[in-house]
Amino acid sequence: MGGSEVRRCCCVGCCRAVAYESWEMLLMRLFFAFVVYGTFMGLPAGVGGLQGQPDPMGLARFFDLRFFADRHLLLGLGRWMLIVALALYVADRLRFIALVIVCFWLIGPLTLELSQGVAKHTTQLLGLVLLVQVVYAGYAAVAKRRGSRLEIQRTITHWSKQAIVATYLVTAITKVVASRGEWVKDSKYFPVQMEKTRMSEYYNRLGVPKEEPRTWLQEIFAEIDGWFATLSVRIGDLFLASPDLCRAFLGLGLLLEFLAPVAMLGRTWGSIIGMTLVVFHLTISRIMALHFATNMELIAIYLINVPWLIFVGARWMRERDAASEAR
Amino acid sequence: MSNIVDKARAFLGWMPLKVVAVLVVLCLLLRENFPFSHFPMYSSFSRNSYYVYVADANHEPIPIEEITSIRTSALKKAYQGKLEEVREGLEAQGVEIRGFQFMTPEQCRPAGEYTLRWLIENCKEHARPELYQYRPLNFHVVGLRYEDREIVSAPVHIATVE
Repeated sequence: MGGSEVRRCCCVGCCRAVAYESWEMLLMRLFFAFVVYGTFMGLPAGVGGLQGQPDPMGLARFFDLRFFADRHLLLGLGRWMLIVALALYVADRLRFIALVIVCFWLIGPLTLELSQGVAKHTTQLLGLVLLVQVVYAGYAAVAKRRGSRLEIQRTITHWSKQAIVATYLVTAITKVVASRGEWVKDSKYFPVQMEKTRMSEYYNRLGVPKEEPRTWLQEIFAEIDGWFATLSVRIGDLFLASPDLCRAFLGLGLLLEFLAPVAMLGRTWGSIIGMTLVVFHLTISRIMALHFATNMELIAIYLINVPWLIFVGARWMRERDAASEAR
Repeated sequence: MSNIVDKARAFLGWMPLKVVAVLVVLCLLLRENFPFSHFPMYSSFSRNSYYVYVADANHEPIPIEEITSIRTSALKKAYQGKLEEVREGLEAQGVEIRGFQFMTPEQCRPAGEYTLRWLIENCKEHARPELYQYRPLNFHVVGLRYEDREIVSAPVHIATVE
């Protein structure tokens, strides 16, 4: 195993599917199944009992999806069908059928949840990754594509990575288009957004913590949260006093989103861009209270590829030890 | 014809990151249609913004997330959506509105009332009795404005719902 690619064009950016090992893709499918299941289990709280779809979007424009609001249906039939489908998906058996079932039980309820007139952008990436996986699995099944199971798995992984990259690219393009190219220039107003977030957070709970810390570990986390809250206020003050610093900071974020396709250059670039995106999300989460946990999980699975990093790190340490013993 | 199809097929075969290209185009065209989105959050910055909160009969703020599990950011999105409708309606009647920040509290009232009703309808059933203890509910908007490296805030009462 190594950093080899299946095919690679001579020009920069023309990278093709990475030659992942089967154990890597098995772990990717397993972790992806956990992400899907975790998101699904959060659905009854979000869609359970919803009466209508007042602002329909996506499939809700064509179909009445209100039956997904039935908690018993979701946690009964839905959950068991999903568990079986995810088991098949992880085992890479009946791939297309399994993914269709997963899409049905995830994209359907999420569409209903987002058809309530309140926009959220925390699950779109998961939906897009699922969509490209089912499209390729369908193509592979219908076209009876020749090629090994491993090759099809690699292509599905490659498409999933592209869905992640596309999401960040779209975000960057929208910023440039919506601001008529003045996003960085106007970002000096960002402290206004920080203040809005800080005060909105305050009025959510009037300064009362969600849970009183009960153990020493929770106390440490509460301490860290308090420290970050103070830091966020300091950063806001700094950005307010120095608009150029604010522009430079936000400009780096925009640059990172535009550079997302670099993650397709290979394993190492995927890990580097992936880790940078996770740091980017953690910063946003601390400063703006915008949490994109699912995005970070998908980045860790497909771009950073944590098991591969551990494997490479362990191999490097073994080789280093062997070299020092030889000396 | 088949020549063009063959060329298109060859181009698609050669084209790197074709899924990225297709998804970018689809997301930008389809906009907010799950799972597609053009991800408009923080796509432009303005010197004006605002946040909202809910208050009790005495206009004292109440910890809305603790009571209903609904956050003020969700209330703001519901309010903003309705406010856009109200603005369109006013403009259709010939009322000129240069921006949301120039709308009077009276013009914003329908959106505020809608948001409070939306809150009552969408909060968990077991949370309603506690929420009703604070009736009549009041909806407040605090405008924020960037003025020469300072942020100036302006609170306004928008609506009351029994």
